[in-house]
Amino acid sequence: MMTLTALLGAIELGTIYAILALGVFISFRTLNMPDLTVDGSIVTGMAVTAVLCVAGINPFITLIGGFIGGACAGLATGFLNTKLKIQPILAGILVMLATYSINLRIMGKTPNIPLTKVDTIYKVADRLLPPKYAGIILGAIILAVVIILLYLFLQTRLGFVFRATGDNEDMVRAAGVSGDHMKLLGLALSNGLVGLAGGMLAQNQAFADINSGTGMMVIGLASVILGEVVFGTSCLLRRLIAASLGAVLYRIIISQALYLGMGSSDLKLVSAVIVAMALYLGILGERGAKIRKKRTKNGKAASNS
Amino acid sequence: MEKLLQIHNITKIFGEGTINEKVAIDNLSLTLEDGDFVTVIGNNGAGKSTLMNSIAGAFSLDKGQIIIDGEDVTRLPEYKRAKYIGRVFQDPLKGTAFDMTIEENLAIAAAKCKSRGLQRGISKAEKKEFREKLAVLNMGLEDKMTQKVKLLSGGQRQALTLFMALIAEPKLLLLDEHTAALDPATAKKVLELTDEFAKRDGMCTLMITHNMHDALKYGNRTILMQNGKIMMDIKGTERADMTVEKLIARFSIDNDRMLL
Repeated sequence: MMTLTALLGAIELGTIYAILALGVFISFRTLNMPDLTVDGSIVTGMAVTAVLCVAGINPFITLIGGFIGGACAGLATGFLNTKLKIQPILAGILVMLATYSINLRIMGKTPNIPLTKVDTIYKVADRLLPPKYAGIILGAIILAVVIILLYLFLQTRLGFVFRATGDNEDMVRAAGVSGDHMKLLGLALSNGLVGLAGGMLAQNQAFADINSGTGMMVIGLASVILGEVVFGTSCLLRRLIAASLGAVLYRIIISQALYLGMGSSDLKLVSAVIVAMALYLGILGERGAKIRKKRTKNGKAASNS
Repeated sequence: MEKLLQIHNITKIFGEGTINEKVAIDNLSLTLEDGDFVTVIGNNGAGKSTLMNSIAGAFSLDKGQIIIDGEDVTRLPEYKRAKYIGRVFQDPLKGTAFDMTIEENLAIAAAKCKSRGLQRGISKAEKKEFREKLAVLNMGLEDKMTQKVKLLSGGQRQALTLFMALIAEPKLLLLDEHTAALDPATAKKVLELTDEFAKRDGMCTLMITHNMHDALKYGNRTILMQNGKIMMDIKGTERADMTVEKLIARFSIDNDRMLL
């Protein structure tokens, strides 16, 4: 098993990826829409945050910039999907492509912005908290705030119709709400969270890189599904927490793989395998539940007769 | 007096200019009086569902005008017309959000004409109110308020959808064969509930049915559609004298389902 330091590092990264996972949860589960914008919007979040950090703005405030940057990318996908009627997957791919150029422009045409010499939220945390755990505590606090706000939002009147959109758009329209508006809102919120995660990631690793978005959507998806399989889906709050813990678990698995001697260049393969496994286990889980149900039914019938 | 629903010379053509061109609604006009409960019959492809969808605004019309409660809604998108309209479809899955609880579904339907912001999705008072109102259905749903809708049977879902369609007190109720997917006993129950609610709330109701007995038994007016036109429109004594046999003789109905 890996060292304690490696484990703590994995958990720290996990708290960041958890916010990414919550973003993917919103598009993938709540809107029932596979959104590939994520690979672009996470870099948008990184880029905006990094540029603002370098400009000397309070590193916590820069995260809001990251959120807004990601949300704009999401709105673009939403526009392509709802107004121009382009399929969600294609709309996401188009925006992912477009954001590459836009992200480069935001970063001032350099592919990498180092944040080693500017203040970041993690440096602030290191000054205030015991450095060994500072990153985890900070990440956990931000994550908790995001989960609570998201949960409260999903309990509002607006949140109710928003959740119904992925289930049944006809019903949403029949209730007097435009399904298109809900999709725009959802994609903005989802990619906003992804942008926020990007901003935290850039500050955590102390650089923003134009190429770091590849495969992020898959990582988010892996976390969501892993969370569902391991931690359950019984109620809404549990699903949000499960997606977050899924991300932490995912990071731990990755660092264990690294510890076992796998090269970091193989990580994308590991991610893909984890998603495939988790998807398979998810289906297996459903089937398992069905079989269990059948058994108890038969058992009852037998005992009654 | 203002008529609740006025449909003036509407036409809807699907696939215009292609070999599959189909005139689904052909220059049709219809006016509903307040409190009318109209049953709609006709063969498959007669344009019954297209008529419903035209009124609800699922697509734009090629010609004509639709006025609901004095407002010209012809160009209004579906979700904006929803304030006037309650709707139940044939498919029990279409009316509810399956992964949400009964009370959450009801809250969404009940908030139809209210602003949807960051206020609580469902209040304690609403929970209690929904519970009491649902007891009217006599289906035991009031004890399953926090259960997800996907766990309900088709009949329970359809009764719930009907209830949801009515909870925001629409002016016009559109029912598109809403009992066709249910077993006979449940279908009868849902129909009786429909009749009861229609009489109680006094809104206008338009009900498509494939069952000619039901078409003549429920409501106060019956229209028969063929090829996108209204071929017969009866009420009062003329309707009271009408029988299924006479209808078949007059309109050479070739649909076995309608005779059941």
